[in-house]
Amino acid sequence: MNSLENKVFKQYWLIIPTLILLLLPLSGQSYILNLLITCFIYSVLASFFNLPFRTLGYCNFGYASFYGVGAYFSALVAINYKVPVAIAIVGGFLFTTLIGIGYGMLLSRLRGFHYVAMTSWFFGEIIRLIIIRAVDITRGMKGLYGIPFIFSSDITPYYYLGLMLFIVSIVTCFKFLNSRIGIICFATGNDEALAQSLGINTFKYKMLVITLSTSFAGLMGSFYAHFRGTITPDMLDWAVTLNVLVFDIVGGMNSILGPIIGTFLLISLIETFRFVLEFSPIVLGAALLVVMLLFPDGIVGIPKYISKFRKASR
Amino acid sequence: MFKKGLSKVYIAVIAIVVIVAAVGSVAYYIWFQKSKVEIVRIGVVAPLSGPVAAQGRYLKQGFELAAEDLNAKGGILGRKIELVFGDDQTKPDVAISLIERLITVDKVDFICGGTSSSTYLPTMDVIAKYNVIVLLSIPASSSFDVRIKENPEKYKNIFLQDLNDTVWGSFEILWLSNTIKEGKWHPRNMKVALIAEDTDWGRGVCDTWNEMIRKHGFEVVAYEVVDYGQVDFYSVLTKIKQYDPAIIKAELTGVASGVALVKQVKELGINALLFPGYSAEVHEFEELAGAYADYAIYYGYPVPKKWVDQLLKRFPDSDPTAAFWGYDSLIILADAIEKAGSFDTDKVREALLKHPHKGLWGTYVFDPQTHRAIWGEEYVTPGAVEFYQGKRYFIWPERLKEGEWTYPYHDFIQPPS
Amino acid sequence: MFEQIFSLFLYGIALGGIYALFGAGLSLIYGVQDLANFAQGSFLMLGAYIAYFTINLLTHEPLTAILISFLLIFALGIIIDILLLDRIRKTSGERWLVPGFIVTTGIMLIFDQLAFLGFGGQYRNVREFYPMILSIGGIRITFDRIFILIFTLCVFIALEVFIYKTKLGRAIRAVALNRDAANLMGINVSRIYAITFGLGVGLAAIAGSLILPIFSIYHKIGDETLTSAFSVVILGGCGSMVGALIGGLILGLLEAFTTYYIGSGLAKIFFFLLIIIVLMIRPTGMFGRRPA
Repeated sequence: MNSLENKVFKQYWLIIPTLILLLLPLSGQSYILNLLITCFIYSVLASFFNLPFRTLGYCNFGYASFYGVGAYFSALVAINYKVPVAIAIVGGFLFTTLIGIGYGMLLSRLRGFHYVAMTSWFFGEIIRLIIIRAVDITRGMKGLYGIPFIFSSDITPYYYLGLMLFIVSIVTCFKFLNSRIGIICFATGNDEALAQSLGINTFKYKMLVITLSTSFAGLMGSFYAHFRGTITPDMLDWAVTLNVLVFDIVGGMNSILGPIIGTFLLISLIETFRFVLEFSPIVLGAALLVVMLLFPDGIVGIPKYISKFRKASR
Repeated sequence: MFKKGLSKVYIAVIAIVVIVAAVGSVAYYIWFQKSKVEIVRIGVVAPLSGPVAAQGRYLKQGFELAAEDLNAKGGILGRKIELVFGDDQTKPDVAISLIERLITVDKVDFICGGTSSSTYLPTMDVIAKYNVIVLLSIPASSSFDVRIKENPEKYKNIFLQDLNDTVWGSFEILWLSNTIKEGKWHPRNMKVALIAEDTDWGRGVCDTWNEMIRKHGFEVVAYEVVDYGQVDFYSVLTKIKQYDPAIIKAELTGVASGVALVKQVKELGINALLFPGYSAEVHEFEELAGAYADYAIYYGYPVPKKWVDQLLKRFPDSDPTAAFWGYDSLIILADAIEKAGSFDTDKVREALLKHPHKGLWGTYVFDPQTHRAIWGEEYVTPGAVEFYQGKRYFIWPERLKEGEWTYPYHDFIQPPS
Repeated sequence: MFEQIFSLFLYGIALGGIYALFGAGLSLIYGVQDLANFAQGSFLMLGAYIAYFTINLLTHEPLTAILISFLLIFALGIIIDILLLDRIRKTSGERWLVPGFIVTTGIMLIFDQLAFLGFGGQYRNVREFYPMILSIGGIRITFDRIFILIFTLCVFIALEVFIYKTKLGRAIRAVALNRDAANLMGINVSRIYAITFGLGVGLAAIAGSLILPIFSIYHKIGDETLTSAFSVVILGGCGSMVGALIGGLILGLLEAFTTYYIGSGLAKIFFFLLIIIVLMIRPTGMFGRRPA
């Protein structure tokens, strides 16, 4: 945990981008608002994916399935049982949390990066296949459409809701990582045997961080379902998890701002050069390689890298 | 002092990156808007990747050819046509983003294209948000008709150029029952097996078959559902083989799926009259399947030979049966705009509904309630096509017939050695 | 009835052979380098495309196509290892596995998209390798299936001979057992790593080439089958070639039969559950010596 970040959050310069974000809808450019909502969703996904990764070293490769579970649960109760959208979204959040608890119990038993990655990957695939196979309920690969919207008007209220969810999520991340629980998770990730010898119930804490991570994925999924009105099982594909992973690592997995900056940067990069959209996975892959090879701390680690470089050359 | 330096560099880097991205996107946006004055910009959505990428590619070529032809004659109402293409990857969420981007960023005046119904059914609500006409070239699910009929005001801007799955399904059954009634074929039994792709179109056609074939005295012994893009039918076919059906009707859209199906049917030694569905539309089908495609029956579209030559001159490896859909889409749109005398959405919509539009395939008239093209001798009507020895030819109806239907139903067909 | 079961059996064996080769490559890389190569699927895909173009443009002889595919991908693998993986090993030192794994995902993204841009999104396949259908006692057998099976067995025999009887093979085993000791014995570990990676992805290329007459390929085929490769490694045990062969055959047969009886989606769900159970109960798989 670096104290620079503590300082950063107390810096006043953060007000500028916040103000910009708040006032943006006045421009009426629905395209940009749309883009930013996507950025909000993915940066929350990236930040919460980062939680177990950074603290415990757990790469949750089935992460996208929680995003999708939240979406499908919320969409289905809204469509089939005429549940009001707000309650459906909360329902999606809670349902995903429930599954996350079971999932956390499974994953917390494992030790070792590869174990966790493999198990989570297969688990995610199982969930995805279940949703695809339950054609009578979910329409399978054809996807669900006609999901009731949150607001009946244009994009502005969605933007503010998304922004609010974004801020709440980031603050949650920050508070979590700085809290006692967060620090214990770091300790567990560092040396679990040592933590246990100090009397810490590492199992409980591992479960907590994993559940927290997945439940917010479900929340964003539910939001997305009632924002777009259409969802397909592609949301649960591990390619989505891969994108989240790339945003996280390229931005900087060892910071809170990292996943956010990585998401905003990469998504806007892809959109800016839209006419060569086909190159976007290549851009992502290349960015990943560059980061891994040169700046393992991601984009937010660049200043450190530069100053180290500067120092070395003196 | 060290920390202060860090903060400054931190901010500087982030600021630079954000500014570059922002300036880049704004500049591109402005540059792109500049050229709007003397053109009519039409967005074309098609699957350029995925199981039906072959059909999508030819669809795109049809559009390009039509745009060139129309522009050579001066464009539409004096304005040149500019096409903006997008790949829908046969995924609904991609199609939705694509349509929104075409409308809000590229500011297209009209949108055409599309092949898969399952991809575009979910886009209907998004299209309803904007006042832009969307002419879907190929999607044929009757779910469109139902939804448009129930909600005409909401979906008023959606038009469907293709006939629907009920028509296509009944049409194949019509050929079949005619052939039997005329004594041209005595099937060894009256059993039919259905293989439906799990898409709105696949299910739609096979549901039509399921309902209607019974009325002609047939028995449906199996109704299997397979995944979109599936190329492994061994399990399904092994199951079907037990029932020994004389007819297998499959509705698959990906070419690879159709090829795999006919191959695996022969490999398993199943002796049945085979309908592979939309997957047989393009020439890749008989090229990749070779003799395995023999005797399969498909529904084809008669297009003028002169146009076929023109298409092949411009795109030598194209396929007329897939490309003409795109060509006709632009022709229909251009015709409606000319007859409306304006590019205004409401006026063009009226013109689309009010007038018949002459295309390559026949005359298109849109049903006012379902916004779909009507089928009939005086409108557009397909014909039955048979594959034999690497070629395809029409066998029905009389006015389209290019050859006699052959089917050695006695013998088991050996693939070439 | 019997004919059904036999034809499913044959199909399962052919499929299993392909999975076995695919997984064996992964297992080899994992066994020697401890690296989970997420790009294994992309190499399978590239190998398939190379074989496809070779058959369509150069020669119809499948063996030549498979050989060319193997050699080219083998070379590509060595280059990737030297250029990228070696660099990661140097910068991250002992803890290079996670960055290494991430680098392979980056490679996967790039290769898949390059394939799409270069070859287009449409599906490709080859009608068949050998247009023969044997009929023994009334049972129809497609020769291609038999060919795949026999070829797979030959490759595995060759692999075993290579690993156990040749000097290079012994060096590879040494590095797999204890890298530092091997280094002290004078073995150039970097060279072995590169060769192993090349060999591992080369096996994927062979698997990809063998897919052509059965299924169609496109740029995403590698990703879709990637779970099968990892399943084979988990079942058969990391680092074990025999385990990969047996695991692959089991996987292929299971897939063929369960798909027939309960449909492919349901079959896959149960199979993945099985894998997770194996991961939790016997993580070393059937023949593995070290934990996954």
